[in-house]
Amino acid sequence: MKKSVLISVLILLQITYLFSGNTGKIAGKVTDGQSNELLLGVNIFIKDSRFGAASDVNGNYYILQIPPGKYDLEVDYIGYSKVTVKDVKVQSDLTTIIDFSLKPEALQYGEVIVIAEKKLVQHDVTSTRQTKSREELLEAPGIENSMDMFRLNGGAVLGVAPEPVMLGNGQRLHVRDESLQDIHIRGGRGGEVLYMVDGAPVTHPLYGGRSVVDLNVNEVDEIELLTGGFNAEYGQAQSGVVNITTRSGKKYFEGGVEYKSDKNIPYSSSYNMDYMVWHFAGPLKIKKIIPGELSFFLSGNGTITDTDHENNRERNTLSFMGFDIEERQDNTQSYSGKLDWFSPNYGHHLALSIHESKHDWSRFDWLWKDFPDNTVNYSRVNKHNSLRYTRTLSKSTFFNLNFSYLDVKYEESLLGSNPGDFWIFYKDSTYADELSYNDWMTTYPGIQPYAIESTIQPPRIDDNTGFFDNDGLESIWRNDRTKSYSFRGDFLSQITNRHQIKTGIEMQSHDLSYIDIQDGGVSLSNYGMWYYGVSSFADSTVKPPGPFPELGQNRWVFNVTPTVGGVYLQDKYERESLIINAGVRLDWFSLGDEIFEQSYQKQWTEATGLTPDWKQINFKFSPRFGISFPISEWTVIFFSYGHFTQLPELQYVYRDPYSGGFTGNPGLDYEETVLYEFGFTNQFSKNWAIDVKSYTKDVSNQVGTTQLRSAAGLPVALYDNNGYSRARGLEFKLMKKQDRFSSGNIIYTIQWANGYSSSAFSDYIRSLSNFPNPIRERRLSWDVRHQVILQGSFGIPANSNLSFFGIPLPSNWNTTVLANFSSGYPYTPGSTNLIDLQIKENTSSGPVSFNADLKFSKQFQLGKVRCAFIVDVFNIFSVYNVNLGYGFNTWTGEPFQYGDNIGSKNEMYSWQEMYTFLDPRQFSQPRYIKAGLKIDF
Amino acid sequence: MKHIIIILIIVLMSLYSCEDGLQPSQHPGIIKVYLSSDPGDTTITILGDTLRTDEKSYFRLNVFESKAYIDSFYANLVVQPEDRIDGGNTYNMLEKRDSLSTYTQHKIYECYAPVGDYSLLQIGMTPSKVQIGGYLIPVGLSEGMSPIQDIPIDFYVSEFDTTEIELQIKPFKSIVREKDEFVFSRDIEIIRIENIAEDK
Repeated sequence: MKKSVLISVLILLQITYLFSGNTGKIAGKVTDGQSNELLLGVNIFIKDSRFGAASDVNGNYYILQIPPGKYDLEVDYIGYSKVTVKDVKVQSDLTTIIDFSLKPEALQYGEVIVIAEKKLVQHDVTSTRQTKSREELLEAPGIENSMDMFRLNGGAVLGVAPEPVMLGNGQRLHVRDESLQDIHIRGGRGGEVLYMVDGAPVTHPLYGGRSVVDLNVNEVDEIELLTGGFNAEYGQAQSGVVNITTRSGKKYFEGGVEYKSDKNIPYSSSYNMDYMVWHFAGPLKIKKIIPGELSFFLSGNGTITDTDHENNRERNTLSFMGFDIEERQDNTQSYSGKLDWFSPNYGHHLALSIHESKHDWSRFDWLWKDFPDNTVNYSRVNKHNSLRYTRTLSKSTFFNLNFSYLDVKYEESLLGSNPGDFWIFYKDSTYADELSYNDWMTTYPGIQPYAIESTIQPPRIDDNTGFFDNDGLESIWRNDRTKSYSFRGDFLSQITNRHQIKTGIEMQSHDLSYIDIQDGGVSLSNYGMWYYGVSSFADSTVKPPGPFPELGQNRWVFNVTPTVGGVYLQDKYERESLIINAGVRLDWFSLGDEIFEQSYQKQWTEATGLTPDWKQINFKFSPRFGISFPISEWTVIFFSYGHFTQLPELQYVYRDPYSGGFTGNPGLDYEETVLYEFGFTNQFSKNWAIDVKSYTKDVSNQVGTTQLRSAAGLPVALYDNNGYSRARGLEFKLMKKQDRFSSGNIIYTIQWANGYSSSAFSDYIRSLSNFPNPIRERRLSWDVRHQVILQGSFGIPANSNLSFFGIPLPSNWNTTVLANFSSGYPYTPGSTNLIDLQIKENTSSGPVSFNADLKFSKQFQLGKVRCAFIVDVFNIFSVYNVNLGYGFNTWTGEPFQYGDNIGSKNEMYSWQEMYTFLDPRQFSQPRYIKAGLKIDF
Repeated sequence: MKHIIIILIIVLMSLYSCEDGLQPSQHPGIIKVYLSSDPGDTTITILGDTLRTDEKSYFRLNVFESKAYIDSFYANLVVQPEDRIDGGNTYNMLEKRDSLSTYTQHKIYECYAPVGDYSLLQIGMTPSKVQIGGYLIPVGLSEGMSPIQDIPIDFYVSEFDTTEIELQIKPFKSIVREKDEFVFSRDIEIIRIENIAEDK
C-alpha cells in the first residue's frame, strides 16, 4: 500500500510539477518619497530584458526567474520622476531587495539614476554560500577552470596524492580516474560534492561526487558554492554543491580570444604551456523562420603543457583546436555551444547546450623516470548535452524541465594495447606458428594451446638502481564507458508574498560499463589457467565477466544499469526579520537487474560467504531546515540543520566478485551527514563586514572494507558501511567591498576532522600489515587545522587621472593577490613497531605551506576592440611547499634529504636509496609565470 | 585602496614569515679514499735476513665495510659510486707503480656522501699473506682485535665537490711477530685531505 502511494506521488510530481535552472529574484517595496504612502501598480522592469513586475496593493513587487548577473532596474510611474537603479546584482536562489522611494515630478525634475549599493550582508542566506561571477573569478590569478574556484574559498582542502593501494603483485591499484582530484570540504571525504551545470548533474557516475565536465571560466556566468546546509532541491551530496550557470548569447554580438604561454619569461620556470580560449556569441535573427528570440554562444578552450614534472615520454601528433601539433604531457581541449530560444511572449524558454571535452595525458612517475614509455597513458572524453525547457505560467509561477545526457569514456592503456596484445600462443612443440590471442581464440576456440607466453615482463624494480627497469611494462587496461540519461523537473511558485514553494523530481538512468584489468598482459586469470590447461582447479572453471576473461589476476568488470532519483519539496518563507528555508527530500536508488541474475548472486555468495539479500530499491529521507534572522539592515544571524545523503561510489557497489580482492557490495547503504551550522554576518562600516560561521558534521555509513575469505580461500575485501567521521570548525571572513580602487577578503578557518578511516581502502591497507580495525577516531588525512586565504585586488580604473607625488599614475589596470597559508597535513610518524604505527596514525603534522599568486592586467582600447595584457604569477616568493604524498620522511617529519638515517638506525641511506626517495614532486612548483593577451569585442 | 594595500602587505609578510624554510636536499659530495704503502718501508728482517721487495712480492690486504661518521651517524662507503654495497676488495700493498720503485696508490673507496662535517672513518682491514724473498708469511690480526679500524679524521664534504683522503700504511714496520705468528698492527697515517671543487 505504502509503496503504491509513494509511486503515485512520484508519478503525480513527475507529470505536474517540473523544472530547474539557476535563477534569482528581485523584490522590494515602492513608496511615495514625500508621503511614504505605498504605491500600487507601479511598473518595475529590468532594462533591456523581458523581466518586469507591478507593485501590489501593499506596494510590494517581485520579479522571478532572473538569471544571475548585474542589471539596471527601472521604475516609471505617472506623476513621478523616473528612477533607474544601476548594477543590481542577482544571485541564484537568492532575493535582492531593492526598495523605491519615488519623488513626485513637481519636486524632482528629470530621471534619477542611482548605483545599487553592493551589500555585504545578504539577509536570506540560511547556510554558507559563496557566489562568484565570471568577472570576479577572472580577476583572481590562475583561475581558468571552473573547479579552480575552490582555491578562493576557505574550508576546502585538496587531496595530496592518489591513494597508495598496493595489490599483491606490488603494483599500485589505480583506484579511479586519477585526474579527478579529491576536494575535501569542511572535513568531508573527497567525492562528496554535487556538481551541476544549468541545473543538470555532471558528477561522475562511477566515482561519486567528482566533476567530469571541464568547464572553462570563460563559459560560465556564475559559480555558486554551497558548503553548508543546502536546500532539499540538492541531493547526492554531503559536503557541498557547485552550481554553475553557463553563459548565453545576448542581444548583441560579442566575442573574444585569449592566449597565454609560459615560454621565454624571465624569473620563471617554463613547462612548455600554451593556453587558448575563445568565444563568440550573439543573436540569431531568423524571426521569419523561428518566431521569438534566438541567441547562440560558442566557445572553445585548450591547454597543452608538459606540466611541472615532465616525464619525457615520446610524443605523438595531436589534433588541437583544428591544428596538428606535437602533443604535450597533458592536453585538454573542450568546446561548448548553447542555443537559447524565447517565445515571443517570453512564456517559453528552450536552452540547448552541448559540451565536449577531451583530455589526453600521461603521468609523471619518479620510479619510472628512466623508462617512461613503459607506462600507460590516459584519455578521457566527456560529452554533456542538455535540453532545458522553462515554462512561465504566470508572474509568480514557472517550471523547468531538464533533459541531459552525460557520456564519459575513460581509457588507460599502454599506447592503446589491450591485454590480448601481449600474449603469444603456440599450437605444438615445434613453436613454429606464433598466434595472437585473437587468432587463437577464433581459430582454435576451446582448444588448449601447447604453450602460451606473455611477450612482456611485469614492472620490476632494478636492484642496482632502485628504479623500474626496461624489461617490465605496465599492462593496465581500463576501458570504461558510462552513459547517464538525466531528467530533472522543478516547479516554483511564489504562492504568497512570503511563501515561495519549490518542488521537483530528478531521475538518472545509468549505463555503466567498467573494465579494469590491471595485469592482463602478464598473468592469466584463474579461469585462464584452467582454460589453457595451466591449472586444473575445479573452481577455476567459473568464467569472469567481460573481455579477455582468461587474462589478469586483478580484474574487475561490470556492466550495470542502475537508476538514481529523488523528489523534494521546499518552502522559502521571507519576512523582513525572518527567513526560513525548510524542505524534505526523498532519494531512491534502484540497483538494476544485472546483479540479481542467479549466476552473479551465486558467485557473490561464493566470494563472500554472505547471503545476497539486497533490496531492489533503496530509499532515503532527508529533512533540511535553515533559518535566518536579519537583526538589522547590516546584521544577520542564521542557523541550519540537515541530513545529507549520498550513494557510495558505484564502483564500490558493483566491483565483480569473480576474481577475489576488492568485491562490490550491492547491499551498501547511503552515506549520511548530519550538519549543524551557525552563522553571523555584520557589516560594521560602509565598506567592511565580518562573517563568522561554525559547523559540526557527523558522518555515518562511510564505505570501508571488511576482510573475508572466499570459499576457494581467496582473500576478499568486501566494501561495507563500517566507517564514520565527524568534523567541526570555525570560519572567519573579513570582507572589504569593491570600491573604485580596491576590494578584498581574508578567510581564516580552523577545523578538526576525525574519523574511523580516511578512505574506503584504509581497512585493506591496514589488513596488509595485519593491523586490527581501529576502535577510536583518528585525524583524517585532510585534517588541516588552520588555513588562511587572502585575496586582495587593487587597481586604477580608466580615466582616473591619479597622481603620486605629482607623478601621474597609469590607469586602467588591476592587480589581484591570492595567498594561502595552511598548517600541515597529518601523517603517521615513522616507527618499526606495528602497534605504534596503528596507535600513532596521523598524529603528527607535516610542514606548513604558504603560497602567494598574483595577477596583473592592463587594459587598453584599440578602436572598438578591448585588449588586455595579462600576467599570472604563481608562487611569487618561490616558496618550497612540501607535498606529503611524495618523498616525505615520516621519521624526520621533513622531505627526504641526503644524510637521513634509515628509520631509527644510525646508518644513513645510501645515495642510491635516497635518490629513489627524492621524488621531485616532494615540493611544489617554484615561481611560475604565464603571460598573454586578451582581446574582446 | 590604502587600507587594502597595507593589510595585504602586513598579512602577506606575516604569512610568509611562518614559512618553515624547508629546501630540497643538497646534492651529495664525493668521498675518495686512497690507500698506499709508505715508499720508505721496503724491507723486512726475518731470521736475520733482510728481505727487500721485488716484482714477486705481495702483501694481500682485504679492505671492506667502511663508514664515514658525522657525530654518531654514519654513511657506508663503497668502492665505486654505482655500487650499492661494499663487497670488499683485496689489494696488493706491495704493488709498484709503473715499474717504479714507489708503491701503487689504491683507490679503496669512491662514493657519494651527504654534505657535512665528518669526524671519523672506520675501515675494515684484514691482512692475509705477505710474500717476500721466497717467504710466504701468513699475517693476521692480534687476538681480540676488531677488523674494523677507527681512524679519527676531520674532513668536510660539500655539495657536488670531491673530498680526497689519502691514507698510508707501513707494510713491513706494522708487521710484527707475536708468538708463533705475524700480526698486522695497522698503523695508518693520514697523508692528505683535499677538497676538490666540482669542475664546472
